[in-house]
Amino acid sequence: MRTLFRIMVEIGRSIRHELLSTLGTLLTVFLALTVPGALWIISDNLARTEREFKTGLTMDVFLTGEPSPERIEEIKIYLGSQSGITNVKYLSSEEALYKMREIFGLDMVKGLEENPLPASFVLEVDQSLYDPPAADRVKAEISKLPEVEDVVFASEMLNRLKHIIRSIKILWLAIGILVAFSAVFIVANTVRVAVADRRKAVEIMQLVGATRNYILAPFVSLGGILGLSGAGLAALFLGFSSGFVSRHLVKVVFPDIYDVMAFLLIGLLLGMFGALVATGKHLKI
Amino acid sequence: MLEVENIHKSYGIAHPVLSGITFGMEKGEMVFLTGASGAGKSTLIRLLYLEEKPTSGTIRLGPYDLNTLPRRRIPFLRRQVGVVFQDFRLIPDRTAAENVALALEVVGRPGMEIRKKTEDILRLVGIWNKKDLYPRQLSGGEAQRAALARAVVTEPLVILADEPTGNLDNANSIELFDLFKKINIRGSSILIATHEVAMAEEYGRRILHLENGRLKEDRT
Repeated sequence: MRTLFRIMVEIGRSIRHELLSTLGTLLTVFLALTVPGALWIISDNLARTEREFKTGLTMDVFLTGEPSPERIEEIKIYLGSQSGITNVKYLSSEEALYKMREIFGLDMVKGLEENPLPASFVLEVDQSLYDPPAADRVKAEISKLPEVEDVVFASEMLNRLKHIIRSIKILWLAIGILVAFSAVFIVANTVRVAVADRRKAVEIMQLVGATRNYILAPFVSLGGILGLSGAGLAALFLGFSSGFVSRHLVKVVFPDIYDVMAFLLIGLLLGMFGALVATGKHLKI
Repeated sequence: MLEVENIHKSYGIAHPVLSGITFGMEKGEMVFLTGASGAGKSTLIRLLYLEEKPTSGTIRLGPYDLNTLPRRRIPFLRRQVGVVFQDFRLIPDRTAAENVALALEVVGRPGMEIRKKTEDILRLVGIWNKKDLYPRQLSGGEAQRAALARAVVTEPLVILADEPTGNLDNANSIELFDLFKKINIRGSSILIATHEVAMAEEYGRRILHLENGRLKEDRT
């Protein structure tokens, strides 16, 4: 308890001596951590979108007309035998119109003189068809049926989404590494100034027999506090921003408490590491 | 208690600072280390608290062999050595009492003991009434008393003083030497480096006289 109090007093002294520089560091660490934090949230939300998209992903087989019930059963069996198809459901043009009315409302279909929607088969697919060549093979096979007018499958979109997510993850990783280095550098610089400012005190502490840990503890704690506070401010800012975007633009899911804690921990560790770099280099102890 | 054997110290071949220094000190002894500026007094003092290592020779202080002492053990040696400097070396943003208490804090003494010992030692050196003043608010004599109090408060094996009166006027110098004497009577071993040979002689204690890095005289 006394040690903690001593460390706090020493940190207080360092901050008091270099108030502006400390505030500047806090602001810079906050800004530096906000960028990868934001990319983290974007990547997380895109991955969630991808999962949701996959869950509802179907292959729609549009027909030229309404086949007879016997033919529907034959086609169903044929479609079900295709690789990657897990379930086949027939949707008559009537049912399609009803569904459209459900989704878009009565006004949307009120003015229509006749039903423009074709009958179709809705095919549920498994993961093997997320691969575009495999999906194309099945599409080509299905298109051979004389009743088939068109086969629509959003695998291209899924694929594009996957690429976007992968690119954002790579960007996030690259920026994350860069930011980690810069945060370490920024904190190290502030702690270096604090060490220089307290050099006389440090020398005297060494003279009276203070151990390395006794001398380092306040500086490393200062670095940790700067990193943690910067990460905390970034998390708060991103939380409010996510809320704002969710209310006014598009739904954004903010990471859960464990992810936020991991983010804070990263800030804390970066700060402490920066302080260790600074003290190791500028304190010969 | 302190054994110095055949110590040599040089910074490069052409510049020997200490040559063949050998002496010992008993527990409770007060010794003056005299010599002109550049004689090697400060270097010898620095070797005794391991600010520097000798080029050759051996130094033993109590249970510590300074030649083989690992770096991480140096703080523990320094807790057994109180050092007083010409420039006081007080932490500017700590009060006189806090500067003295620091020596006890680093060794992890309990708060009650720290307060009690700090008060006792500040009363002994006569600046208890200045305990809450910062170094810049103290006179040279008072600052040096605070520095002495810090060196003594942990009851080290030996107190080393490097030109402690260098920044003091004559009256303050005499008062400080009297204080050293008072502390020595309480049982502390003291080695004082000074260029004021005449003043050292007045105290009738053992004198080690250095000339050009060599021990020219060891007399009482």
